[in-house]
Amino acid sequence: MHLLLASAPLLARGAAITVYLSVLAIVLATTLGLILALAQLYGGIVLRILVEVYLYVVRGVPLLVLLFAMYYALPYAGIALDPLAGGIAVISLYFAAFMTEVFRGAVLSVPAGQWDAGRAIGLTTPRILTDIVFRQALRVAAPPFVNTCVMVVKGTSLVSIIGLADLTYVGKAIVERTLAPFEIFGAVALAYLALCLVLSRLGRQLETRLNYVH
Amino acid sequence: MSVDLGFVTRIAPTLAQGLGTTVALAIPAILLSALWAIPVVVGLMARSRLVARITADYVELVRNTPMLVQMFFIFFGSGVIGFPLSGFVAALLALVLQNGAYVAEIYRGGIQSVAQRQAEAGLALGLTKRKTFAIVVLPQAIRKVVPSLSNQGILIIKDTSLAATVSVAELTFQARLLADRTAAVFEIFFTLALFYLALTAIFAGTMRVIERRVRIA
Amino acid sequence: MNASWLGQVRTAAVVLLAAFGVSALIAGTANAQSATSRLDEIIKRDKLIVATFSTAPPFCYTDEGGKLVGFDIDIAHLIAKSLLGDANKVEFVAVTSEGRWPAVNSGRADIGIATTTVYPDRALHVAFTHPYIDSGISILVRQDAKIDSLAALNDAKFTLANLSNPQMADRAKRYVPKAKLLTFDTPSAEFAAVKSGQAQAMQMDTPVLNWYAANNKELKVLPESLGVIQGNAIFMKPGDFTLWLWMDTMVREMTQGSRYNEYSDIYQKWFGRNPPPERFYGQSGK
Repeated sequence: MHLLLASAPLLARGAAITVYLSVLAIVLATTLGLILALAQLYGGIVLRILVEVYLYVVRGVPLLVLLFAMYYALPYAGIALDPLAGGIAVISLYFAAFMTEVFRGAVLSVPAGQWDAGRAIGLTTPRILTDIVFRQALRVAAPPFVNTCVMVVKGTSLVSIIGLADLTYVGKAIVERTLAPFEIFGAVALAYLALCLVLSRLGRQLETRLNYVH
Repeated sequence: MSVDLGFVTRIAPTLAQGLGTTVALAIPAILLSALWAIPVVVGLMARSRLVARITADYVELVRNTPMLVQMFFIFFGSGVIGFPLSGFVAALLALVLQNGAYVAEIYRGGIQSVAQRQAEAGLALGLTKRKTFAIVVLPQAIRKVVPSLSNQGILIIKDTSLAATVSVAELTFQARLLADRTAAVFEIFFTLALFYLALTAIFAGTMRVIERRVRIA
Repeated sequence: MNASWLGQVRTAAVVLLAAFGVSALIAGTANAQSATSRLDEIIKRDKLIVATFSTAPPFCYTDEGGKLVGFDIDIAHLIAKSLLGDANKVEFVAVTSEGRWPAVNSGRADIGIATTTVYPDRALHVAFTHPYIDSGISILVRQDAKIDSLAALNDAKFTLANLSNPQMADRAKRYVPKAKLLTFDTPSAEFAAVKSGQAQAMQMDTPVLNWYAANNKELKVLPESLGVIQGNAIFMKPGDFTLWLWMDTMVREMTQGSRYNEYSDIYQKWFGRNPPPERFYGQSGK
């Protein structure tokens, strides 16, 4: 217990980095995911193929390998990203693929009748999308979107392997010094749990507000 | 730095050693997760509120904490309490504990989607509740969720890369060591990515074959 | 895209090949030699950026407050004082064992001072100065494991903790092939494994192990060292002669010349004795 109190400031600093990474990565991944989902649904054949290939690669390659490629290999091509910026970039790109699937699935799940009704009253495709379909798709998208956000938070723990002092890294460093894995990693686990539960709680509020329409 | 595709064929054997370890970790992890998920899903749907609550808490815990932290916890923890586990065993344990929980949720979705009538028919035929579950409901549920299981399996294969941090000499570990020896980092990570893509593609393909075989008409 | 899985593998291979080809082209053009030296940049910036470790006591590690301290850290401050007039004009970038090479080669850091031993194959990737401190590689063992020699360690019932670099892997294979291996990113992880009993021995630079043994009575350093005298040196991106010349001159001034007094003070602070010329790391055959 005394150890936990002594380590609290260091852990707090690590947690701050984790939260910072998570928030930025979620925002970037969501934005990119939206754009790519629209590209996949309404883009030309070339765009669709590119997105499809990108999704395939991200699905099959571990996030850790992508982080390593950024950290060890990219510098030799002249692009030197520090673990923070590079970590955010890679994590965002990785989870943007998941977000794309979420949004595309949500839009496709809106019944065809809605589209027909929109066209019947003379709206063009973009107008139908924004006025009618978007709200309904959002409702379907909310639960998997929140799940993906939780995955992002968990994914940020991987930056500890490329030396960024996030919560996991700090926890591991303290454990190596003090040999108290149960207390320290326990605290780290609880911190992640708290973060993710807060995220899920916010997500549920989002769901209720979206369901309010009906 | 020059593009040297011949180099790829030269480093492939070294990486293939790591591939063996990756497969040796992934296959037991997938099978054991599928098995461990069965008691977990039974616990989740148990009649006793206490059992259901405890199981649900366990599932929430492993779903909301990073796999890396779980691996570290088990690996370092085992050393400190005097029963040191090898990195391989610690990683396997962490993989099974986390993915078992996810698979249990998948099973639960499948079970709940099996028509109520199937269960009623089983009971009408005189089977006990337990037998109905084991013989009628569960097999149908498992066959229904093969696609979701396939997804989870791919996630397990990808998570084996984390075992490198607890000293398991799998693919990613070997690649890093190789990258430190030579300057040809591009070729190494390119080959590494290709290996993982091939692994996941083979697995997904196999699961698709299985799905077609066991699909409920 | 419902192609068969074989078709998908082929597609992925084509795309990766294309991406690889494009990035290799970029790599080819991105390495144009610049006319100015990194040294001028450092002076203009008025700050030295040093890549270092954060888990290798007593060279570079974090104390309980999270602050970077150590022999290497103090050397970096001395260099900054000599170059820029102020010992505080240093910024440290903490890296992992394999991350130290990209750190300097990519320009993220000017130089690296990270308890880094000079080896010919490493010299293919980076430029080394002369060593600023002698070193050796030793084995730290638990007293209760009753291991008295390297030969005794070469037994399948023992586990050796290693760092994840090729030199350590080669040495382990050469000296103790029968022992089981645990490989970690950081010396502190190796040490934690030995302290908890998961491993009975660890391989690391001799000064680091001496420090651990001095602070942990249940551990001791084996008298034999793996190999002969080695040197830890400053490393940087190759091709920049001006930077290298200044750094190398600085190292020689520290170890043998005008900065010897300050160097001695740092040496005394971390090792409790005066620096060489006496060479105190044992010579071992093989």
